Amino acid sequence: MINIQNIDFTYKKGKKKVYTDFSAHIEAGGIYGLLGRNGTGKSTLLYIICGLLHPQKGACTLDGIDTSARMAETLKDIFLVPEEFELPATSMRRYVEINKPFYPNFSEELLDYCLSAFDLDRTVQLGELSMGMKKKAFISFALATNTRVLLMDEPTNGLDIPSKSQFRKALASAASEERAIVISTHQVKDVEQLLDQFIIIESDGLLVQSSAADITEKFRFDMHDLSYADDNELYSRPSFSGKETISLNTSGEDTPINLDLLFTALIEKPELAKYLNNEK
Amino acid sequence: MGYLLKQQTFVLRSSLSHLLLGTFIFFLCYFVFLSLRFWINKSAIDVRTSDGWGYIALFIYGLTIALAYSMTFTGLETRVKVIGFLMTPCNPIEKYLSRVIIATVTGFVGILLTYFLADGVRMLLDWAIVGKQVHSTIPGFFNALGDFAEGLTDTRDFPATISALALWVYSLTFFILCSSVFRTKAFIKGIGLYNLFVIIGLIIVGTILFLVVGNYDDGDVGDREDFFNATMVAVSVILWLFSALNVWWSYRNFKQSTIL
Amino acid sequence: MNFKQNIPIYLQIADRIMDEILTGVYPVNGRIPSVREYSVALEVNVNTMVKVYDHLTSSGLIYIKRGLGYFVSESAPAQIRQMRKTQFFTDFLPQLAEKMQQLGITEEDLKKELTKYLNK
Repeated sequence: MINIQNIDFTYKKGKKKVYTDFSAHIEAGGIYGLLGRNGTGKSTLLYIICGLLHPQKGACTLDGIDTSARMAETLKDIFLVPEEFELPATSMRRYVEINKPFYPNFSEELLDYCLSAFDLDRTVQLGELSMGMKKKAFISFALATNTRVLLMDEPTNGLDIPSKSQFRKALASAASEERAIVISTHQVKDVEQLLDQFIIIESDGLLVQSSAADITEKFRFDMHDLSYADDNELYSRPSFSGKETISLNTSGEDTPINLDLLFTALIEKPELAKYLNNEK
Repeated sequence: MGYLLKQQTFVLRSSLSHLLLGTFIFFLCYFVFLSLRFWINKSAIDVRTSDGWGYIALFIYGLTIALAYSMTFTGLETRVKVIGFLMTPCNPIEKYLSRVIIATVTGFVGILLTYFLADGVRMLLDWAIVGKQVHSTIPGFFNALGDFAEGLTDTRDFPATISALALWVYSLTFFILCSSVFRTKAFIKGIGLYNLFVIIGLIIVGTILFLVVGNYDDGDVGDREDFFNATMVAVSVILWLFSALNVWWSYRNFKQSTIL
Repeated sequence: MNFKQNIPIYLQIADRIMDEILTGVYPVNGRIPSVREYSVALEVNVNTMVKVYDHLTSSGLIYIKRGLGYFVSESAPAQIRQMRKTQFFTDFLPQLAEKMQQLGITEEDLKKELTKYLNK
């Protein structure tokens, strides 16, 4: 669906490139976690996908059409929830009235469902909401547009703990086979269980693009006593009861992915990425 | 497109209302300033409705329209504001045109109405202070406009009129271009650049005309006039071309803009 | 919802649904929530829930009725009790034995303490 092909990007000529010959792809039905340390260019990639930034080389296409052209055809299939945004000082109802016509697949049902999940309704005055509630209102609208591509930049930032749970529920309802959702975050734990695809980037480019299924197949994640030793162990980290480990999965058993540990391991030992299907 | 106009009008509602309020106050001050002598010396002849003032009104009106056009791309100063507009699912040309339409309607209709309103208030004040029934400046304004339109059909006045019109259109498109280049304070920067380039250009053209035409003998009045007319038409053509360039250039700026 | 280490999440969720079947929350031949409804409740990816339901179906604990949803099998409660009994002997007991050996606890020690708890 979305094909990012060999892009180069830098903010200012001569400065360090954020992306060099970077490629990735995003397919329908997936909930992608775009993970990376602060400053590695996660937001930049989202902006490139929706055409708000133009790569110096290469291109990003949606169904073959270059997104940097920002044509109506492409834009009505994409919705971006930026980290910071502004809402006008009107009611939610008015806001929806003004902005809904641009999205042919808009679902009133989904909007009401999400609003109620967030303890909001259409009568709320957007100008009077706190930052967290504004985010929830905007996310509700975003989910309701039913665009084939939904991009979210740090959606859980600024949400209190109950709100994060509400967010997960809303996201689980809004996901579908036709939709691709890309969530850029460094608060991995907030959305861990919902992700089934991962794009992990580092400051010099793509570290790994893989699926939850692939990771579960190739690696196993365990907690062991310190005395435990294994030839298959690839990486370990101290924990309260001993150590958390990542090992080659020769047992064929599925273990829950310790995403936090995986991310740390890949940053420290990028060579581990070669075990995973880097579908380029 | 209709939805886009509705959305953009909504987004710009406070900027536009501030602009209209501002021009209303400006026109009111202008009228009060003119009226002071009339109010103090209550028997002075009311000169403000003569045709001459109509032309001045036209000029001031043009200035405020330039202000409206310098706000074509207003509300896009920060990254956050830009994202909302650029991500709206419409083609870039539609977005560009919607903004130009809003600026045009605000300028030519909105500001005209505030002018009439200010004139009405002036008339009320005149009647309250002086007690006389006074005339509106509006007929003078439309007379000036009518004279101008006549100038287009009259073959003798055509060259001068067409170049005046071209200069007007060029100036307006110039401000659209400034709006697309400058994120903030487009009007002030525009006025600055405008003075620099346009006035210099006029000085150059004027000097050329003076030098060339001045070399004709007095007997060739007809030739002198023909040359003058030809130059005027040529200048107007150049201005039309540059107007088109301004429009194309401002559209290109908009289409290629990113959120840097 | 917190997930334990080691045991795959889909199996943990399957266990949870088996608990609900045993306690009667989902009666025999009664309908259980759809895949999507359950994924929303637990805040997990739909694919994970699909795996859960596939696992339960292939174990014969639930069955699907086209267009209506998933239902609890007649034999589910009995099957679950049997499975768990087996698990007790195959999973728990070896661990118990190992721990006993580690700590030097004899069968007699175990029996004495165990009787106390069983007679409660």
